[in-house]
Amino acid sequence: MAETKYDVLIIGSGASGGMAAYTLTKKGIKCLMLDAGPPVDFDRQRVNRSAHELPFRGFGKPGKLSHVFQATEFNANQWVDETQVPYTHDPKEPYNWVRVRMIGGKSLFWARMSFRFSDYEFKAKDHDGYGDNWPISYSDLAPYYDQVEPIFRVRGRRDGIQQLPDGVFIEDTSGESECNKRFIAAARERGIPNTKMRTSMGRGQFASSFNLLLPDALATGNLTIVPNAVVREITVDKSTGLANGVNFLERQSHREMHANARVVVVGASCLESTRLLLNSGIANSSGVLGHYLHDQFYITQSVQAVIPEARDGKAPSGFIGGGGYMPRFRNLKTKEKNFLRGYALDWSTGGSPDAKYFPLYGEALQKAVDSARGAGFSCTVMGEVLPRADSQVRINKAVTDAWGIPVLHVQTRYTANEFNMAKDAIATLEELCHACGWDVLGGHDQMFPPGYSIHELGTCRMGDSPKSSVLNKWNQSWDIKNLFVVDGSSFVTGGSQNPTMTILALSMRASDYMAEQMRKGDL
Amino acid sequence: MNGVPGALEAKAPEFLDFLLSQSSAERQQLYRNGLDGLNAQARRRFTRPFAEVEASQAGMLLAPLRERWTYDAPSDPVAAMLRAAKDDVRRASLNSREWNLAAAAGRARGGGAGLYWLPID
Repeated sequence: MAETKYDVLIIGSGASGGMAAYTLTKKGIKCLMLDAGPPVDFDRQRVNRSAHELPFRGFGKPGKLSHVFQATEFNANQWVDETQVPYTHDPKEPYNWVRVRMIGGKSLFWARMSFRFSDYEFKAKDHDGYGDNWPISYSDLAPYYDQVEPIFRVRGRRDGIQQLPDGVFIEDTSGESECNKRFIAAARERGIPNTKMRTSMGRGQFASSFNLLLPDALATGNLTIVPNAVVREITVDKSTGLANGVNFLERQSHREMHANARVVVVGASCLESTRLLLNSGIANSSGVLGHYLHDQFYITQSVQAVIPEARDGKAPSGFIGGGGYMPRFRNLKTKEKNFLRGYALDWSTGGSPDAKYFPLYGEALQKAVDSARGAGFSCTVMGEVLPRADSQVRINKAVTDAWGIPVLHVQTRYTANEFNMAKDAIATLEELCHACGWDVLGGHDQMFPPGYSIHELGTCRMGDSPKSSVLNKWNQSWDIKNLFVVDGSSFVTGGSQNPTMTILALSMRASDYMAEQMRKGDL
Repeated sequence: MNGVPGALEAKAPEFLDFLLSQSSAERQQLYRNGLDGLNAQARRRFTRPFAEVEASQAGMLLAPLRERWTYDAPSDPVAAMLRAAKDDVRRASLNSREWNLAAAAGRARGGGAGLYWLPID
């Protein structure tokens, strides 16, 4: 392999790396893709089991994957083992770094919520004066969203909501249950818009790089994928200052190897990409690399209510069920007193509240649970987190992973802006439930630790100036022109929308630019 | 309970003994302090340990379980243990072999099952 020269070396096979390969190979560019994980045959890797057949009856082995709240005893083996690839943080500032190392990356498991950003995100500073604008606007990215959505087969409803631009959707024509009509009307009276959930349908059981991007790239004959390649560092030619390849270790043998290429594309996931650049000691003349880490805070099961008319299975057909998405509605035309930006609501009816919400036990508890089965309302709050310079990652040389590579130290916490926003969200939801005549069982405004949403963003941000950003508006390093970083680390702000569509659109746009520069001989 | 296995039939106590033996010192302490406190309350009010009190007396001692749910666990050690035990006992019961059989026979609903990921080589 060391003898073969590729045009572009892509690190990471998830959404961003997959889209780079998809775009570049179709233009005849020879790509080599490295991923730290193996290809997985899902039919062989998963078996049907009852919880009682597992060693810990479904509770999971105590202490395993303590940061991965999404982990269960069933899926524990799909996540990166924290003992194999550790990271550090102050115990008082927990961070949940949730990772996957397989061909396809996290795109194998994402929730598929597929939204566009608007200029409320791209030009956020213009709107409220905080932080920085992106170096691009919505109109720059819209043509790429237009191409990404048909590939991922996004289902949604076009509602003309300014802060959540419509896309190229498979039109969702489903109706609303009576309960949902009531909730939507109560929200509308308070100026809160609603739309159908926007979801990547994909094909078969996946909407992943694994089945939607990589097969097309491989079919061109221009893509070579090397699995189980743990990249240690990007190497730079001292005479030219350009990146010329990577040093990597084979996952199982730990044998060290080198691969080279004309252009290096990093799409290893937000924090792994930044870790790689920091460990390589490159692309940081600005001093900004590692800073401005942000995500979206999540409050799941934020408000639990029971819809009285649906108790005891009495709901007639079409009365309850389904859900919706209420995009950010705060700080658009008006200004809140104690927080900037806003939050989105992912809500549903027809579920069954967990037993913990009922102040009962024994047979009385079982009776209450049975009565409320299928009569519940639940909502997840997803709030924008302000990017801050002191929210950062750095290399902790004192700790290394299983391949001897220094790990990340993460330093971040939520602050008053997020806490005040969360309080507003819960008060709003409780008000809506009361307006609908529903019985609120419980509500809380405590969010999970940073990282939980698996929407880590920033730390390698793009910008207008090499003094205050790592990348230019084409996801290209200001310092090393043949180095591109195409994943969520390039974000300037994160909004309250799930970021995957924006990552895909940015990667496609950067790859288009890259191909053109290569064609012109500028790369 | 109407054909649905209760916690004792589901062998939840035996399983939770095992689970707690494998759990963190913090979790073990939560149960230890809570159970000590519960027994102390039972002795003080009814002159016998919790396991030997009448059902109506047990109902009085389990009053914290009739409090409205809050996100943060109660600061009182007994209330905190009871809250944890309520979740653990119920889950251990629903995920038991006995519940699984009852569900298969149409006598119970739910029960844990799913696709299990084998270890990746």
